[in-house]
Amino acid sequence: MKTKSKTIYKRPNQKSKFFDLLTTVDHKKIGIMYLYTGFVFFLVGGLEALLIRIHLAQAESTFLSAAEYNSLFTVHGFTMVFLFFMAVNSGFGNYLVPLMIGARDVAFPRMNALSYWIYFFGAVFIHSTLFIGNTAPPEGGYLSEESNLFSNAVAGGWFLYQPNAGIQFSPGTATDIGVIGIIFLGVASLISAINLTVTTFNLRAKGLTLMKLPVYVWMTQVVSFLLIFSLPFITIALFTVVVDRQFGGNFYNVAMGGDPILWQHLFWLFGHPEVYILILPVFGMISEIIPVFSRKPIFGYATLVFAGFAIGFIGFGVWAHHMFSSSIQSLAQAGFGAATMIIAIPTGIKIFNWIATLWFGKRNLNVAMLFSIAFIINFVIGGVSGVLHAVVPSDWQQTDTYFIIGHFHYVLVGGGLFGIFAGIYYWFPHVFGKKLDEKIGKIHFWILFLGLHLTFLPQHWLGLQGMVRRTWWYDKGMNIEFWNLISTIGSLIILISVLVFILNWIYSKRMGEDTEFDPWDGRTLEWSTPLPPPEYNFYDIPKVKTKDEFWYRKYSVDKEDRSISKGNHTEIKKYTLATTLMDTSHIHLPSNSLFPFITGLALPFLGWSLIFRGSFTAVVLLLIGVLTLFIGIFGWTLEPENE
Amino acid sequence: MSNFSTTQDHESTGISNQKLAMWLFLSSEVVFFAALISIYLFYKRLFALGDLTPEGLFDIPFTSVTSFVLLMSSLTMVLSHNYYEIKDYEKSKIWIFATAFLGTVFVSGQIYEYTEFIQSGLTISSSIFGTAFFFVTGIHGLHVVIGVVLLIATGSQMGISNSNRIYSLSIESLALYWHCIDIVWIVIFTAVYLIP
Amino acid sequence: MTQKRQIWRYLFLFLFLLSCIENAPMDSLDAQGPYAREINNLFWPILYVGYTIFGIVLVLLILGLFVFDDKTGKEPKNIEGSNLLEIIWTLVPIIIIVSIAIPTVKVTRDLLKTPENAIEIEVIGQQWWFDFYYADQQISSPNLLVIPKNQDISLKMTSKDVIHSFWVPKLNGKRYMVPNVDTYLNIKAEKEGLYWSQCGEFCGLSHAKMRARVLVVSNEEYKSWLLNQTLAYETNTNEGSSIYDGQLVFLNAGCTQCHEIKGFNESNEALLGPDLTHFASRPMFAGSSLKLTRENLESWLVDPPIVKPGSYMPKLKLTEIEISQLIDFLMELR
Repeated sequence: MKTKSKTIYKRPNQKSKFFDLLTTVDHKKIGIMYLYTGFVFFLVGGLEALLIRIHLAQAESTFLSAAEYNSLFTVHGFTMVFLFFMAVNSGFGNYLVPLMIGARDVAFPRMNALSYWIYFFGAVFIHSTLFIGNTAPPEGGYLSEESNLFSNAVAGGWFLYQPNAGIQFSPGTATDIGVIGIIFLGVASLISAINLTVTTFNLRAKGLTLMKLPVYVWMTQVVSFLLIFSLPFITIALFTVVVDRQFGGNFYNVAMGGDPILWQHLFWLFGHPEVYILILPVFGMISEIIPVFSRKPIFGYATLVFAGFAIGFIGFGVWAHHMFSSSIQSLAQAGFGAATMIIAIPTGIKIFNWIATLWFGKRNLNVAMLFSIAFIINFVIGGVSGVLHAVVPSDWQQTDTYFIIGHFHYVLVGGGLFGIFAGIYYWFPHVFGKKLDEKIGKIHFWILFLGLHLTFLPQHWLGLQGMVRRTWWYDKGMNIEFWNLISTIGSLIILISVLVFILNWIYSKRMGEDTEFDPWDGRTLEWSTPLPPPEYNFYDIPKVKTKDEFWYRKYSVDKEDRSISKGNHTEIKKYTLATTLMDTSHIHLPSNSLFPFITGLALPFLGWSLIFRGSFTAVVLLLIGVLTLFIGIFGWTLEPENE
Repeated sequence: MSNFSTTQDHESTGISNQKLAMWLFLSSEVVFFAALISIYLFYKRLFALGDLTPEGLFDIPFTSVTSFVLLMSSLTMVLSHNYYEIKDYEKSKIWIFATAFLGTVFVSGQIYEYTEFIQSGLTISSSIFGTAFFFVTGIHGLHVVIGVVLLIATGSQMGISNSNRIYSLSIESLALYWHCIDIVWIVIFTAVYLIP
Repeated sequence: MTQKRQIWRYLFLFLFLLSCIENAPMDSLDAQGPYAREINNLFWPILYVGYTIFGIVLVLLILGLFVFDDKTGKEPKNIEGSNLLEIIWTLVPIIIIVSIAIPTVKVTRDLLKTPENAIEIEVIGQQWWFDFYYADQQISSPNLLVIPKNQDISLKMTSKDVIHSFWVPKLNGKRYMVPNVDTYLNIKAEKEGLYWSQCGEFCGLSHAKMRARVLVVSNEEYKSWLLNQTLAYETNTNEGSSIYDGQLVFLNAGCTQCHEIKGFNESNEALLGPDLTHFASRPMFAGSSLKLTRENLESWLVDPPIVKPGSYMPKLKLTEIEISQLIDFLMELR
């Protein structure tokens, strides 16, 4: 639908690649931007972790000061959870969902770009703390040394427990920047969740009814629902902290009647669904990869989908299992413990369904499959330690120790990161038209596998030996040096594996095996495009008759219910590649726009104006921020819809 | 790729993209306000203990009037929507501006209330009652202000032909938002002002 | 020095040395009391259940990949699912979970009940040390919780500033100490000895150095300890002795703003720092992060914020001689 241009400018369509990135609304490009940016923060978070591990390799270490250490573990948590993991999930989701449902783009392309730019500028804002400074001692306390780069960031753990993270005990702008930054990132995620939900429900190709959707799309949808219903809690919670810190509020001011435990409830009402938000997309990816490399459909499709919903739903009912050693009543403790154990059941169902998929299959143990299988192994280890936490009295010993750290790193690194790498190796050919090298990939896999277990398995033991988490100093007398050293060596091995991966990436982008079409004999619709896909995704929007639609275009089924090749692969490939040369005038794509970028750009200024509240600089920053925001929003509404 | 159409060439819910997005956003807002009101109710038992108490400060009749005004604004919103459906854009425009006007009256009433309270000594930092009160009503008030801006923006676009109009929210989506804010206010009014 | 104090001093020395032989002082698997033991009795079987489940998953994976893969050379059968299997691997985990949940609920509720004959001792957490207050005798014992063995103790805990957590791994799990709220933790020790404790909830810059020690003694020793703690300090009047000079340093350097010594400088207000009346009768100081030796005292008094970043005790700017005199005085506070 063309509209007359009301304004003096047109929608940007510059040929410059850089400007294209700033203005793109293409879900694929945005997805790739999320993935690259997310990976940069993976390296940042990894560096933060390495510094922590190097420090902890020795008892009574002075490698880092207390202020530096306390900041490093906090930003490690924030970076990995918000800036890496959620970004990568967004990256995959944005790239894959429209392709998997036979659409050309998401429902709101400019909003999609806005989500990315809010994330980007939110990350910029959060990191501005390195230059703004400062971690100060609590009111009345003294420090012997100046704060420096590493200690300029928010400290005290990413849970920001009150009143420790309040204005009296954590004065200084570092915590404020962390709090406001997370509010921004929450907005980005909410917009993205709404966008993908509308896309999944309203833009599916003809014939693609809901129970034919790939499991990945379903898992992403559960995540979107989780975000929609859990982000309000953290947003409100962070608002209360801003009110307390910036405007003298009394929500967590104990002297005025404030209750610090309220913060914990609000935080964990978000925080627990958050961990399922992190892992469910990975569950989805595994559910796509294992069938392809077993050459069988996913086992128990409906069960997997409903188990995903069950996990999401029950996930809202277990938040206080992070608070077992708090003052909550014994009945509540028992109840939340039982509820937490119940989540193990749908999770276990999923595990068994994945295993059943590869039974009686024809396996292809390539790197993506190796990562997927290791995912299952690692996740079960993490899941078992999770069930042990659900044993409430045992949790009174385990909570806030390295036992917990062992648990969540097994599920997030052993599970999440391995699943992400599985996804990367699987969909890399789709994005770039080349395969990642298998040999280097296997080296990457085995080194990471070794590094993971060496780093995190000893941490369970360390926790049981009484090593408290978030402690910058441990005594020689505790006799926990040995396993700390092993854990550090493991983390260095993880570093090596990451370097191998980067090597593989650089090498394969130049010299990888070319694939222009369907390298894995895929089952789902995204593999029906040329690789890399054209901007419009599908020349003809597919008409869908069945689950695994693409597979059944290539295969029919014999009496024994085995697939039989229709012998048309070359034909399909030829036609598909030929469409890239055909006339595309019937295809209408959303045009580029600069205004999502501009709108996102406003946010750091608004944030800084709050940080420097009361000074003249703050007024200037506020004006710049508001002006930029208005230009962004009005430009957005004024620009012609499509050109 | 229009946001307004529900064409038949794909599987869809039948609800337009924009309306579905607004429903999803509003469901998030409902949880948001539920958490907000819960915080207020969580601390409610402490409010009677301070110098300035709800009983002492609240002017229920006054707030009832402003609440009624907001309620009426929902009525005018419905009228505006109805006229839009029958394509009487002139009348629809009048009623949408009426809604914006009533919303502004509501916010003015709140601001007046705030100045009264602040003069009596209740501020966001004076007590936990002050913090909770200004937080809950303030966040709601901000939503009303944003709503009024959207109403004016949409209203000023009404009647302009499709080819010349700028991008804006559909009346339906806007009405949903406005009604949601109104219903939230009824809950807030009950929880904050009415329940002892 | 009275005889009682002398005996006490040697007892401490002995027990202190004993604690150094301890191999894993924070080992939660080494239960030294009924609560910790009940927790472990719940933990170990469930851990073995976990091992078994992991083993099953591993075996299923290996079998599925290498033994029961499709070897016909044709495409595999398109098995979409099996209702029977779904039911089995839903019901069996439910049974396992229920059998774990029932004892969990029971033990949880049991361990949260306060026993009838428990002695109540108050624990006050603050950045970054624990104060143990014996209300009946009105004595405050910073850093060191002394309890009789085989006796139920109910710890009534709170915090003066942020959320802390009290944890003696060998005796029980941990519990928060929340400002303005009383939380309760039961402990009971079966063997005499010195147990380690550490703050389990991040509470600021020196959270890592917020520790305590729990000394478990016989009933008689407990009573004599309580008695000793109620005694006040007898001011040294021997002018010219280093102890006398140390007393003067204490009075002039501003120590009295935060520290009280019964019989020497009493204060009616609540003070920020620990009660030092029996400072030298305890094996550790500075939030139990340092052993009580002259060396450690010196490095502490020279610059507390270096030892405990964020410390509310400032750098005192005392000369070497003043510090030495002060230490002489402090070592008298038994």
